[in-house]
Amino acid sequence: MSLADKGKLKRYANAASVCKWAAIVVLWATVSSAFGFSISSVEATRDADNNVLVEMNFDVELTQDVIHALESSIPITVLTNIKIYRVRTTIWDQFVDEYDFRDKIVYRSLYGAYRLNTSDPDINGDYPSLESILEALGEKRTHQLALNDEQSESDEDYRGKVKITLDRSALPSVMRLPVFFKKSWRLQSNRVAFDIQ
Amino acid sequence: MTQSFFKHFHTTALALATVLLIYVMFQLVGIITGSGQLDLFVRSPMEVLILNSVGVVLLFAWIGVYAYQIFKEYRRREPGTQLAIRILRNIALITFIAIAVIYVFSFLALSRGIDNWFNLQVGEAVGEATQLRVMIFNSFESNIRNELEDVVEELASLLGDRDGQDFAIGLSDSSTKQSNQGERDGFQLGELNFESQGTGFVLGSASSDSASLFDETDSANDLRSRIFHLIFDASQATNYEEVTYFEDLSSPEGMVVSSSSRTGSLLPVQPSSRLIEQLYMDSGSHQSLDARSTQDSGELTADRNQSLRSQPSSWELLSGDDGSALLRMLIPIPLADQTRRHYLQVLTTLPLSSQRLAERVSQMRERHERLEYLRNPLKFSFVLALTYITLMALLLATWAAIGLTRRLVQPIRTLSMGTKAVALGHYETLEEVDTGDDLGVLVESFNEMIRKVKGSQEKISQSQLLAEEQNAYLEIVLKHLSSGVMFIDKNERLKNINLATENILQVEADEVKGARLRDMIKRKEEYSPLFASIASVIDRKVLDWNDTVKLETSQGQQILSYSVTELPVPDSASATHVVVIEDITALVQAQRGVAWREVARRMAHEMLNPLQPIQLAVERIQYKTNAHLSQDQSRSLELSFAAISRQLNTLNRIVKEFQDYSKPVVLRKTTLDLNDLIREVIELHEDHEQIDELKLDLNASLPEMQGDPDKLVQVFNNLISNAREATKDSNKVTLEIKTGTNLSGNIVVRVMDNGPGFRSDVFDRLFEPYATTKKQGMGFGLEIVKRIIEAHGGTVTARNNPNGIGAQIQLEFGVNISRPTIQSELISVDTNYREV
Repeated sequence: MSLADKGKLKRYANAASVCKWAAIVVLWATVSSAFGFSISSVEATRDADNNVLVEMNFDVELTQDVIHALESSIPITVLTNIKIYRVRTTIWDQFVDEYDFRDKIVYRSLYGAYRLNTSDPDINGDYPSLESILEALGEKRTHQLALNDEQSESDEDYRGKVKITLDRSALPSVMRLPVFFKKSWRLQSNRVAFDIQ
Repeated sequence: MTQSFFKHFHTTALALATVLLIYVMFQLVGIITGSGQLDLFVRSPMEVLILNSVGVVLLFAWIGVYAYQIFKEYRRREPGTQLAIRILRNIALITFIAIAVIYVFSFLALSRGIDNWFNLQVGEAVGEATQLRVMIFNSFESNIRNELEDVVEELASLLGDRDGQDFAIGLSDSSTKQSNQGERDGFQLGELNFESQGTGFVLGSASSDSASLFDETDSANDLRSRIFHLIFDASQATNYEEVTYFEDLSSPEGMVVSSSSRTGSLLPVQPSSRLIEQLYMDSGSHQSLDARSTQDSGELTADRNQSLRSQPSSWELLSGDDGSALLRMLIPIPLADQTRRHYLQVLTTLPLSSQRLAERVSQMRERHERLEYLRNPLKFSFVLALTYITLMALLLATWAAIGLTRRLVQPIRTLSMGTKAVALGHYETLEEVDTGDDLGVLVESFNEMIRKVKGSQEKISQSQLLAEEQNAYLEIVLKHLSSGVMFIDKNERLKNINLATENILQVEADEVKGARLRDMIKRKEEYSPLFASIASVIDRKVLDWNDTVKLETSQGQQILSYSVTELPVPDSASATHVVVIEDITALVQAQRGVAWREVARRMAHEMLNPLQPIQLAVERIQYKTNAHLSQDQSRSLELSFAAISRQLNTLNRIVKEFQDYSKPVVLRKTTLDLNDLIREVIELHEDHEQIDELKLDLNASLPEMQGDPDKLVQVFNNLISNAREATKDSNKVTLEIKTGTNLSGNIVVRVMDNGPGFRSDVFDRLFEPYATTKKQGMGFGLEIVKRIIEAHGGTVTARNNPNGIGAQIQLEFGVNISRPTIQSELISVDTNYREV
């Protein structure tokens, strides 16, 4: 191979590398941007039994596509993902555990109501309107996490991160690929960090 | 091993890629159909899509690389590339057409199949079932309406009488005051007071002071009591779960009168705002949420039987606390003032059969709506999967086509390179092609052919080498052959001549090679009879011809014997005739000498026999007649006898010469010094007064030689006598004898005189008998000299001196040199000598 060919090949490789990273950045920005969900407040406490109680408020705003699917008897699942880290001063925090909580909304056409099914029995039940069920879904939600940290000690500090997303993997299988291409289905909040008292 | 790896790399990579892509496509189909289980490698649809896309891109890149390679090979005109492109183009075209047809028809079948599947009568059936359910509920509604028609009319009458009055209804027991939150309905009633009366109760507006409720006027209490009893009675009469009168719920001063048999809750179930709005927004019909959504889809329109109802109503289903379904019906109270909205709400539990029917219909409807909703995603997913699979199949087929093409073309390329190598003279066998098909057999056959050609080539080379050796041998033989040989091609051109031919014909080989015989006739006029004869023989296509030609050349008469033979070689490039030439001049001369010697011997014999009797007879006659004759007669007779005696002596001398000539030369060799021998001969002639000047130039370093001194003395006597005889008429007779050696080491003796030289008419026959210019003599001298010198292995040459005065005879002896050769500066080889 001549030097000219090598130089041309190198330029092509550099251009391809730039395109690759540009595509990754665009894809990441597209996929990871917050849209539809927002976390307004998060508070967490840890008791003596090493249980973490996370109280949070978040707002859920569904897009017309999602509402249409919901009213077409497609169950919608909201996923609350909480990650717990042990605080370290010198280096980055150490990941401890991850918790997923799924809240399922189903429209019951017989009664014209929306049924909420969560891990919290107090808010489970039928709601006559979408607004009421979304309000109940995001208001004063409490999640109790059993901190399973073998290295846990009483004086360890923890912090967490929470993110609310629309769980597309819980959709019917035939919808998983189409919703992958639609932004209206990429509902998620920013990942919000919180300290555990 | 490396070659084997690369040889099978394509196949292995293709197989691995195919397996991997099939796996990924299975995952894709699994995601779409919900039957697949994502595993550790693929955990989300996104990963499946990315893997598929990466596979497509890699396949594209791989194919692009191969295509670029083939393109480069095509531009380099590498063998087999055009065939590869043709095969690849055809396979790709066929594959593309096939896959495109499959894709198009699969797409149409899939799309239309899904549409047709959804267009089945399922939706209509679901709609009709829903409509049936609505009709059942409407029947319930009609029954309720009929049963409560009197109550509604009475309420309307009571409220119509009260119309325009301000009153409030209070509850009797404030201790049971409860807080009711209508948040779930989004309909706020606020704080209400109620008074329980048996199974019923009356609620007052929260805005009214609770104490004042019981300070109302009698007419108001009466109205309240009448309404309460009316509701209570209706509830008792119909066994409804709950009968409630709502007075203008939008107003904070509205009154609620309820009678309920439910034990779970004391407060009445409040109508939803949607139900109220629906009641007045669509006064001509009513529908539940089911009906509304069904109407949205155009499948069902609730039809209200206006003949059964004088006023519009609305109903909806509620889910009871125990899971049972409740029918809630809202009946407006017809009042003259349209701004006042009073309702009668009835809550009744559906019959279990109706409830199950409603739930099943609802479930079926939800399922149908879900499927209906999923129609487009399903089509999208299937088309996406079909597109991916088609694309993968197309790319894999293209890849396989490339591999197949390369595999097919490789043996052809190998063969092509092999043929080019053979054309360049490289007879190397090709690498074995393990295709297991005809191409492999072809390569093997080619290798076999190469092996045979190589063997033949080696044999040809050996034959050529042998032929060259034979040619060299033949050239050597021809070069040293005393006979001249000429090769003539079919165009009568001289192809080659040997050294003897050069000597015989006095030509140079380089000058005459390629010359035509006809041209040689002109170029060498002396030999034109020979070339003309040869050309004539060839023209007459005589296979074999022998003849003799006598030529008169500048060096004298030359007799050549020649034979022309046609060669059996059809190759035009080779010689077609060979001519062998023999210079038989010496042979003829020798034969002539032999003949002459025989003649001389016989003549001597025949002459000698009568001479003796004649001599005796003459002497006897002289003796007998001398006494009887006179003195004069006797004297005259003696003179006659003297003349006869002289003639007899002459005859005796001639006979003696004939005898000497006819005798063979027999040598008695001894080692001698030729210079000494020449001095002895000179001494015999020194007293002869006819030689005025004798010059001896004898080389002192002359080597000794083997020779017969008597014969050599005879040689030099003859030469000196001839010189003396030739110069006897000159004013000053000069004789010069010179000895020395030539470049070959041979002894050379040159005898020169200043006489008139050799006459041209006898020059050619100098060494033949009777070739003499002397008045007396038989001309045997030089011939005897020649015979003696040749008997010594030497040669005799004669010529006239270059200055035109005198002649010289040169003798050359081959000698075994017993002492160092000293180059003679005096004697050089003169090519003009006539060698005999």
